[in-house]
Amino acid sequence: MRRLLPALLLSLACLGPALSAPARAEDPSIDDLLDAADDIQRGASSHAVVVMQVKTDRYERTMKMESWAKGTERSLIRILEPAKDAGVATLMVDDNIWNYLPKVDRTMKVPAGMMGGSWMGSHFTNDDLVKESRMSEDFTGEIVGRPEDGGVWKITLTPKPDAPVVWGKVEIEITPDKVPTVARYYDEKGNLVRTMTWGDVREMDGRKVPAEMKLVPAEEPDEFTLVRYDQIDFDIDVSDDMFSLQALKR
Amino acid sequence: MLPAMAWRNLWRHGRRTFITAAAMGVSVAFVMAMLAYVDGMYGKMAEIMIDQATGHVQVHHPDYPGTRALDDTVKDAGARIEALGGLPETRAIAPRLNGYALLGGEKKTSGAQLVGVDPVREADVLPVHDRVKEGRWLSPEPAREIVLGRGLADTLEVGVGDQVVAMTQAADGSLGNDLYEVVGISTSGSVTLDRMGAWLHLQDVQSLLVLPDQVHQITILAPTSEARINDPDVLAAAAAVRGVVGDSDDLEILTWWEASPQTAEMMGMSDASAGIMLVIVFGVAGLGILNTMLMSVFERTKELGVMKALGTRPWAIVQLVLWESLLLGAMAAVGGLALGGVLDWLLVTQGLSLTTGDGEQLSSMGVLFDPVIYGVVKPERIVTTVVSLLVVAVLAALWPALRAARLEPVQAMQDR
Repeated sequence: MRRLLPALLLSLACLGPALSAPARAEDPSIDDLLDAADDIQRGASSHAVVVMQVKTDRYERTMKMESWAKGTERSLIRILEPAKDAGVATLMVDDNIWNYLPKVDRTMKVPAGMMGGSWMGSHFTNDDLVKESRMSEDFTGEIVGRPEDGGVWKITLTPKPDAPVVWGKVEIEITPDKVPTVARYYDEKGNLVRTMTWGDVREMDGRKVPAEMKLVPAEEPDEFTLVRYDQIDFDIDVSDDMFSLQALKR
Repeated sequence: MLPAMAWRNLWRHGRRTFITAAAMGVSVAFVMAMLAYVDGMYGKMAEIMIDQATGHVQVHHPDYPGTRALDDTVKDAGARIEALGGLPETRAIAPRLNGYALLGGEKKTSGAQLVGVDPVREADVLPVHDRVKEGRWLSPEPAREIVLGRGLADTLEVGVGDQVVAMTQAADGSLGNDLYEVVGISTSGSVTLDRMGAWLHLQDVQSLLVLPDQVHQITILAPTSEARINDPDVLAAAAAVRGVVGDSDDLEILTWWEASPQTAEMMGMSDASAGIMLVIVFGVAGLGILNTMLMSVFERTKELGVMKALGTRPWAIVQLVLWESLLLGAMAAVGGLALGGVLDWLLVTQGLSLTTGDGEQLSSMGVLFDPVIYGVVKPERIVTTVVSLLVVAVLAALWPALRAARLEPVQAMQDR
């Protein structure tokens, strides 16, 4: 779940099957629900055009970006607008991030000490872009609410002892169609840190996906980062060379 | 007549008197040397802090010290600095704009603390030759030049003439980035600055961070060279600055001891450690005097009995013993001042090297010491030392004096 942004930037390839699965009378297992919610954000490959709107107390900005992803470990984001940042590109391979700066024609690797810092001025950290975590593997889930009368599954997740996660607790809500709607992230002291909501589920490239995701930091409830898909194509033909430092400069 | 008697009494046991006085004198000299050394050390730390961080007086946005936020700035900086420039109460005025950025050399990257400065004004605060040990200082006009701290340059594996990239999140949320030429390497005396510091032209940093005509602080030096809390020169400069800039909601004017209370506290520690040293050393010296005076009273029991029998009043005997002790203390003070003066002179002129055997430098509280610490002699410290010694001498002799005064003449004269 920490792979928040690529969550959407990546292609959601498994969403189709998840949505088409008939709702059954008996309970699905927690792992089924969590895997479905996780896999909604993963796919073989994808290409998308995304608009990211960032509002903070200090500034507000909107960026248009193009992204490519292959598997879960390789993605590339290139900024199209605004003009000042156009051409800036971020390459993510495994847990590493490089930024290409066209103005100076240099590529810089984000060092470990800055992985917790903001990505492109948004509320997402660099870590959010690359840290992989599987809910059913890293957390112990407990169903605290059932989808009765058109409601949603409510699941409380607590990390397993050795899981490489920073959260003390995550609350997630998943529709009976196994689409996540909201996730609340708590620190180890039980304080809400941030809330992610998914919305505007609609059909793109033949699949129903949430076209919007919004991240709100708990400390600054007036601030948010909103990511919206303009276009997304699944299972595209993209070569591994796309995700190399040489290609980054193009 | 009493002082003359006391003086002669002292020299009836010349060797004992001399040894006691010598012990006390050495204590005085030791305290003087230690105080000069400690004052030199703390003064140096405060000076580094004043030159490189706070200045004597500092103007900044009231939220900036707490938030260190990029856009808690002093606006219209250019006009404000011009207005401050003509004040006779100030010696130097330097604007600074701080930012954190990722710097990249050809192979290595490192986080760095960028300081945007006016190269000409900044050189008034800290002479360039004190700062740049290799290469040169920034050009007066913005030319995308950068001076790196020694440690930072080593981390980035760059030298003078190489280029570095800076990447940072600008105040408007955009990804600020630019390319700079390394023109100099700085060795400042502060571990943090050497490892993290990078100096650029103010306008280059303003454009990198998208903060036009803004600075985080205006650093002002008063015409004083001493780092002393409540220095009248600094207070006068602060008042003058307040008169020009005015106390508005978006500006705060602080003296260095207000801006860096931990440094002020550190200076307070030097006073406290001076106090503790005085108490310990003179406590021991006091016991020495007490011992000497008690012995001297005991062995004169018969003589004192005779004096009383001949009509000497108890008060006169108290005075006599106190005079003896005071004269002993005075002799010690003269000798101690002479010896301490020599030690202080050596500390002030030669300094004391702190280098360890392998030539590594010492650091404390993030301030790297120039390996040689030069003593600072403060007259008030010496006065305190000498006065303390004399007070201790009198106090330590009180008990022996009272004892001598209360002797019963008949019994005392029977003492063998």
